[in-house]
Amino acid sequence: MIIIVGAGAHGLSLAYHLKKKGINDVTIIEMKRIGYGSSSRNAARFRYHFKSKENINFALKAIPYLLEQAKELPLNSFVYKSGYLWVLKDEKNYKVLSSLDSLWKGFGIGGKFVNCRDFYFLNIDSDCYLAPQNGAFHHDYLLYSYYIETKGYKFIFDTVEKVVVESGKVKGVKLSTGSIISGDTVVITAGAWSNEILKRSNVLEVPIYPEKKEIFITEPIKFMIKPLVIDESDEVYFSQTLKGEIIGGMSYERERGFLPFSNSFNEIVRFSKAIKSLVKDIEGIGILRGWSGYYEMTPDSSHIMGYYNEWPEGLYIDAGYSGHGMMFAPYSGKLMADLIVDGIISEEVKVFSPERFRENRLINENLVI
Amino acid sequence: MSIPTVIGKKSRSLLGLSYDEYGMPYVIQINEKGERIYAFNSSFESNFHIRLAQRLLHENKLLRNPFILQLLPQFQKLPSKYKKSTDKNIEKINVKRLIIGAGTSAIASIAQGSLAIGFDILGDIIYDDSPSAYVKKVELVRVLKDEIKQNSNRIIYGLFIGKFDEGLLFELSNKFLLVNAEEIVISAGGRTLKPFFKNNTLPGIVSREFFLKRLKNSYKNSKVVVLGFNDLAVKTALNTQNAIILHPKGVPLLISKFYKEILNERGIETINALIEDVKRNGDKIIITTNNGDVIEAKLIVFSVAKQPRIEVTYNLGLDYIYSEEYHIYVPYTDEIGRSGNTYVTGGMRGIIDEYLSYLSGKASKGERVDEFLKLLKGDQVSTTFSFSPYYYGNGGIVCECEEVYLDDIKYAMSLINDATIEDIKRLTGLGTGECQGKACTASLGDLIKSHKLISYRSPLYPVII
Repeated sequence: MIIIVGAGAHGLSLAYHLKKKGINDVTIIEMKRIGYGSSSRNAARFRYHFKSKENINFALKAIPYLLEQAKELPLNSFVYKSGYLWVLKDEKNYKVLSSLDSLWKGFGIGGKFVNCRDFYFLNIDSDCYLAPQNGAFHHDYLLYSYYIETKGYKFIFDTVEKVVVESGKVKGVKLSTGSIISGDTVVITAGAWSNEILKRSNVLEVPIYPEKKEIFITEPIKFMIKPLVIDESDEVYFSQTLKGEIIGGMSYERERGFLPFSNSFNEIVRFSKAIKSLVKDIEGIGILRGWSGYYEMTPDSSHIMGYYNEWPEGLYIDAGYSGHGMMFAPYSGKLMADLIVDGIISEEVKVFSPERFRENRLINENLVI
Repeated sequence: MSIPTVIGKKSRSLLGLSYDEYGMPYVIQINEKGERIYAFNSSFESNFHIRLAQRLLHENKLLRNPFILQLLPQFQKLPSKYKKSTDKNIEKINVKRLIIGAGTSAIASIAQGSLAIGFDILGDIIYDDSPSAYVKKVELVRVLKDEIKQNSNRIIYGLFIGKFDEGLLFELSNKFLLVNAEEIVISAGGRTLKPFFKNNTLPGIVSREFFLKRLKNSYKNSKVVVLGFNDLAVKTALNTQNAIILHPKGVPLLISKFYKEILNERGIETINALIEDVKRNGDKIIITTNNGDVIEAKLIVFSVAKQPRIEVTYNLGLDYIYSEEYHIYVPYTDEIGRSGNTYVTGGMRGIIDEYLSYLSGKASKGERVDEFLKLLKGDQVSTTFSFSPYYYGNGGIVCECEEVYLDDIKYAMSLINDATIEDIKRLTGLGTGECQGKACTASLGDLIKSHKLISYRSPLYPVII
């Protein structure tokens, strides 16, 4: 039996792909609720534009796969190309984007430098960089599509205390209630909590740390902000939902760890002031709701998939997506199912294996949005 | 006063305004200049409307075409600008005893070192003419007014916006207040929620609070149909000259002795039926029941249950329980209303009677505890039954802000097993609009007997900075 630990987008996508392969014996264990940690809390955007060739290559396969899945899945995931728009207020940001642009051109995903005034809703008279290939979707509809499609699999709502290992082989998991679920394969898709489970299981750990992020939405206004706008100098990113709410957050330095899912008034004030200085006609708009969640960070801001060679046989991981996990979930679920069921070690699994941290071949990624 | 109409955000259909409370669906409208106005002062017209059932949204593959998708937001009725309002400073204060609310139980709980912050001083008790089972209301109001006078420097107008890392945020008329308190008394009261039946969006179907506060004088001699099944429904009916009480099929009439006697004395008729359909003809509402009866009235006033403003206690970190007997979600406390350094009083605990509410406030500071507990135990008649008193018929709107109908809920529930309110929220958008679930999550929760609702996150009302 295959046990999946964590019913977020990655766990459920894996379950969906296992089902497609005709696997019947699968149990999914979830600590709280579907999508609790990060999947139900994110801003639901997709992009090809990363800094490292590894992540760009991954996105070049993962994003078209996401678009294909969106056509097939039971719920309408509202996928459309919205573009990402970088606001380049100073020379430094302009230079960074110029060098990224030449990198991206090499992969066939070049964008263009434009005047921010081309976007009538913006209040800025500076240069902008538009990456039109990127887009938006509805994270809950993607997540719940996979949940709907995995009907028939067993779901247990409990915390996994540890992975049970006997003579170098996975035997199942022990739950917080004390009961043991037997299985010969355990896949950790527990997002920010993934390494906590490994730690408790006394196996070689992976470097995944939670980093709390806050996000806010405003009252609705006529739909105008189609792209995701990123302004590094004001430390803000935002876009608009199809329902008309402006959604976004701020970047900031914060200690790592499982901080409470609360919001700071100071952050609301910062976000509100930042968007009001950049967008027209919203001087009096209110912040309707805020929430927080974790980015599951790794040392190279890139995900971890596969296994350590010295791990017990049957233990796998797919986690550590560092803020871009939702958009990769469909493709990662497919790769993981291929690995687990058919033993296919894809190029991606090689590149993103946890072994890279021991072999000191980190991925040069720092474009976290 | 005629019943104001508003335009549905998604479909542009004409909807009757059901509430007058700030923060409830459509109560605040943004006009063309981008200013905020109260909907009950004006009326809107709709010339064109289209409703997309959620099943269609997911099942019609044409609606996955990115070009068509991006047209969808254009149909919505959304403001084109928000005009700048006055800047407000942020002030931080520490208080010994913070009281959230300024109604009967809030005033009763004021002690040395207290600060009570509420948006309606005295509130419900002054709008409701129905008697209390225990004392003369005029006497109680006089006592309360005296206490307000004595404590005038301890009561301020303000709205609780929510808990933040920095403290509890209140919006006052001229500033924001971030409060840190040693002890908190939550006296935020309760509200009635709209039940479900076909065409429950028609103008003239209003909450008990809207009726008592703003409509009852204009409808003094008009026929009013009260929807409800217990003392609360009787109390509502006693504010009119010509009311009948309609309680839904499967739901018994549960009225305490005191109110039963008055009900009989006044000859208020009660009917037990479901609502098959509702239509409007001029200023009349015509209700057809499943028994084939036709009732003509000027207003329908829903008074099913006074649901505590559970978003307030949840936001402050208090757990709640679902009371299958009273069909409400109530904060989890001990008998007196205590949970750690927090007290819950009055309507926030599901208390309806004004005197009992007053005593609950007193009990929160250790006064008249025995009297309070004695009356609390003998307060209401209850029995469990399997039907939800919110279910008056098969259909109607559930979430007004996002225009989610009962058929959308059924569709969502058909997709997954054992759907929770959280699942339904994520599948339909219910509870994600203007009111953030204040108006629909508890009533739908009762309908599907869900023990958990949603996360009521900060801010509880839009923060304009």
